[in-house]
Amino acid sequence: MIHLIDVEKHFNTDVGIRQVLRETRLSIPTDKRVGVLGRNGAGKSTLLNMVAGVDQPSSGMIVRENARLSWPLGYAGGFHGDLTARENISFVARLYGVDYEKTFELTEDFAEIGSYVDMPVRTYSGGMKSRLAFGLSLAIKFDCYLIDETIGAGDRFFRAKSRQVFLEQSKGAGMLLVSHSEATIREYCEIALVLFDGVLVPFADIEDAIDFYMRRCAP
Amino acid sequence: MLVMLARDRRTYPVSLSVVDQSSRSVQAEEFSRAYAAGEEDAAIAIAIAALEAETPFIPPFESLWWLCGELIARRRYRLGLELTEQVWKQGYRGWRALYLRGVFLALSREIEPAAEILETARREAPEGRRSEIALIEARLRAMMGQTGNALSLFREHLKFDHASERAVAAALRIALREDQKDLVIQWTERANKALGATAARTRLLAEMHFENGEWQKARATAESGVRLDPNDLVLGRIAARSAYREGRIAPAIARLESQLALDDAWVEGKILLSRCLVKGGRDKEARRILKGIGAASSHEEERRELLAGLRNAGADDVLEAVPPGTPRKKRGNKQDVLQDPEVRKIMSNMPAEFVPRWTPETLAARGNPLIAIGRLSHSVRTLMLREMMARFGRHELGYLWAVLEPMMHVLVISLIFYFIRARDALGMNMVLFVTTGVVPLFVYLKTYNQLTNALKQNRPLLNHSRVQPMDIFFARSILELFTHIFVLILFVTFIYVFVDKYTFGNALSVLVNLFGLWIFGIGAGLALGSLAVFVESIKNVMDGLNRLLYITSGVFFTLDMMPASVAQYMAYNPLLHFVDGVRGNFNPLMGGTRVDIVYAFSWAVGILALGLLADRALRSRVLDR
Repeated sequence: MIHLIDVEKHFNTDVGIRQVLRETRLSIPTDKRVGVLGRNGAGKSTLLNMVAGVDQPSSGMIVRENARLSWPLGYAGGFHGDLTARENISFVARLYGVDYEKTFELTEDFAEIGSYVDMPVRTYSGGMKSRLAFGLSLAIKFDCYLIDETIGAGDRFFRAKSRQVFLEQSKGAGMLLVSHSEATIREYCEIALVLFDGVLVPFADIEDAIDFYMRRCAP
Repeated sequence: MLVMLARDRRTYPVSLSVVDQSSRSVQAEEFSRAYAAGEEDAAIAIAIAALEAETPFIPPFESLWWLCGELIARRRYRLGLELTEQVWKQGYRGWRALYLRGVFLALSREIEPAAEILETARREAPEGRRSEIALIEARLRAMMGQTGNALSLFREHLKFDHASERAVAAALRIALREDQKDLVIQWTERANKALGATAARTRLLAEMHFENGEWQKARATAESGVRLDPNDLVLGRIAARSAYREGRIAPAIARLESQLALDDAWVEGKILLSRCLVKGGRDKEARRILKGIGAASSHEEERRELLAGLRNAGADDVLEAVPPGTPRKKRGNKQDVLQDPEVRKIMSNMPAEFVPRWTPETLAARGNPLIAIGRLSHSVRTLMLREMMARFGRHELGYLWAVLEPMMHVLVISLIFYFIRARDALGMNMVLFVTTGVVPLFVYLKTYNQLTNALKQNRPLLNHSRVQPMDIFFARSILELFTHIFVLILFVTFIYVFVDKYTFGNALSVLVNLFGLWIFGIGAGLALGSLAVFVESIKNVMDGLNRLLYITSGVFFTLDMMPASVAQYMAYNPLLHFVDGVRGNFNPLMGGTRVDIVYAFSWAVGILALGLLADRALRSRVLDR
């Protein structure tokens, strides 16, 4: 369960205050596949970042209860550039308290980075980094996956493979997927929130959510 | 047309002498007898039977047109093709035979050969017959996609006084496809004059005028079309639309209303009408019309825009007295989503999945110190390991740099002391003096440095929900403290073993002073890192200040070395007290009579408190980038 307890978020910009989320009070289940629909710039990613813990609410708090949340799927920014893949994996394995050997094997097996595992991550290409990150997300079992827009990493072939493996792996797990594309939400999610002008509007039915999104969020 | 002409057997008397009499078959004989006797049905039956049996069958030429016409009327196109082929083989290749053959080819969907043959026929035909062939050819050309060719044929040969409706329609279609608006207008007008106006042609004409922006012409044409066919809604819509475009509000409203009375499904018209009503100041009626439009229409956007414009237009039931034509005040159309009826309805009846579910116990569990400390220490240890690994791997020097940097400072400053012959004035071993100044001050400087940018640099790590901002502060600062305690032990042990046997005081006293420097560094780092969201350059100011502190905080002197008048002011610097406190443990004479550890610690705690406050208050903004 992710509790948004009176969470409010705004940014102070040079052109004034930008309200991203109005005071919100709801719980997001972590055992369901939840979608968040919103237009570009509506604040979906900020919401996801707040749930992950990168962004802080301007007021209120977010409580993650009894849930093993993943980092945003395929996010490669968390790697330390000066560390090798092996060292980065060992850090993450230790942080989440899982077996390093097994995690490393699974990741290496998936990410196809070959002899680069003992090179500093900063020498990797963007594709390698994201494959590594994605493989690592898959190697650790999470209760709930946070996903920003896309499932998959790398080129189209790898993307197809990673999507397939992910869907296999995440069976029974929850997810929080933010996207501007109603097709993506329809494909993966069971229930949805529509981020509409700073308000998270909840829907128990995906089609209702998409209908609302198409009607009300259109410019 | 062809059928019509062919039925009249007197139209094309062709001499029988053209045909070789000997080649005429039995069927042909019977056929010509029946034809001559006027028994048309019998003649046709004979001809069809002969053609179907594929026996040679050449009818007399004067009957050819008639026979072909009958075959066309009976849709026996294949037989017609057979017939014209036999005539062709017989050696008669005049324009008539070509014409008939072309027609049958066209009817059998052999478009291309048909067009070619008709072209030849057209060239050979006498002046008066050409246009009739040309019109068929033009339609074939159009079918083949040679619209340019077809259009020029139509241009040349389309004579409206005796053209067929189908030819005119085909010509108009092609002209439209070629986007020749003027030609379309010209042709429709001439066709209407010559053949009588039809609703379809009038509609086309009205559309053309409308597209050309000639609203008055478009409206007049459309109205004449409506008179032709009052049920043609499209014509009515064009008329109403043109009336709207003409820009005179009252007639436009009247025309739109009369059209909408017949044509209730016309959403665009309703939008136009409400626009007119708004312009005329009749907001209430406009709102009523807009409300009546279903939300799913393709004009939803416009509808909402108009409604939003009307929303703030004063009390609902008071008609605003604005004379038509006066510019209206622009209204803000930003409305509160939470007041939106649809959103309110959903929010007041939240789906069960999203209903807030936390209990006081949920929140209280966060306050459990054992759990919190357990999590914190695990996370901090992991982060420290990561940081250490990174330092080992960063460059060739790796962790050695943590030792080399203070060592270089110690060596350089010692050399300076050596050359300015100040070593005797120090009262203790010169290298030991510098070491016990530089390394403690490094605890402060390095901790400060690591913490000012800690959040910004490690922001990505926060994606792991197990890592919290505080963990990063702890990990970085503890690592610095341990590193420099290790460096200090290394240096002073080295000096004790290889350089000078000194008497060592109290290790706890050293640690307490280092601790003071450390929390001072943490506080300053947190405070400056947070306050930088207001003024980024405050960090540069602090860097300058730190360089000043390097000189004035006891690396080069102790408080006791200063004349009392200067020491009095120097003693304001809290860092100097800490450094002196550390050094006192390596030489009893350097104990420092002026050291005030309580003053220094008060500062350190104060700065730490300031740093923690600033961090808590500004953390979300630091992380906002």
